[in-house]
Amino acid sequence: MAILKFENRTPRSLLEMYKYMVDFNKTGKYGVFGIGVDPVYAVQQMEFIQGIFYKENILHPYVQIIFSFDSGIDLGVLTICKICKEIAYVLVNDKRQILGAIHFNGTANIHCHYMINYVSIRGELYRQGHSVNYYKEVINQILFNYGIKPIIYYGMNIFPFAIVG
Amino acid sequence: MGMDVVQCKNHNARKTEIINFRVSKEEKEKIKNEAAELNMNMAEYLVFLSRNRQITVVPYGEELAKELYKINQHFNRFSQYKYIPVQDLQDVVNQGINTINQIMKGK
Repeated sequence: MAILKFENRTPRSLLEMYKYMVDFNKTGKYGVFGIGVDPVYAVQQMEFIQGIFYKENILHPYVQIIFSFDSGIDLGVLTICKICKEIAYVLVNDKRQILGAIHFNGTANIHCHYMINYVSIRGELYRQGHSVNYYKEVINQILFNYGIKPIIYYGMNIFPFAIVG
Repeated sequence: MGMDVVQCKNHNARKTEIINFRVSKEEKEKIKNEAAELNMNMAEYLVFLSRNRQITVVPYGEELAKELYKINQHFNRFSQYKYIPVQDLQDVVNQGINTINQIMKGK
């Protein structure tokens, strides 16, 4: 089954997390993407937004969210990238920079790390906005469209996924 | 490095203390106006000033932040056209961003 995980702790700095995420041995050629941010200069551009709004000293400069596919999925690399980008737009409720890095290699389950700037392009700090189950439900709709096994969670409506099995 | 971490934690510690002090009407207006220019309240402004000793204001910074987001979205769309050197354009944009970052950090 697929998994969605919000990481509360951010022990790594922005730069350390970036280096971990974009490791070419894990991501390959197509695994890194950005929304509102250049993946090559993600750290500088996120720091820029934080600096513009005088929030460069915040304790958690980013939010980390991990989405993991079910093991043994049979999809092309570009389709996986497309799904991960669609999920990225679901994870934020406003205009906020997101760096996504899909780890294809060295893992049993292909998964995507999302690094979301804690400061939006309007200077607002991150708020989760909805319950984790809400996000899982919306993401499950995306997974359903691609015929992928959903995220299982307590209280979910199992019916739409009965065909996917 | 260790020192940086300690400072960072202190910045985000729980705010349990209250400061009360008297200033003249003019001084209060001045602090209030300067804070408003930076979209801060007076407390945020004074605390920020005590931490940083100086504040670098980037003219039209908020507009620039929005434009950076938009231009990256455009670059993203253009990147599918292999004959457009998108990364070269992104490099140029980022040179400017880096320069502003350095100025903001007081380097």
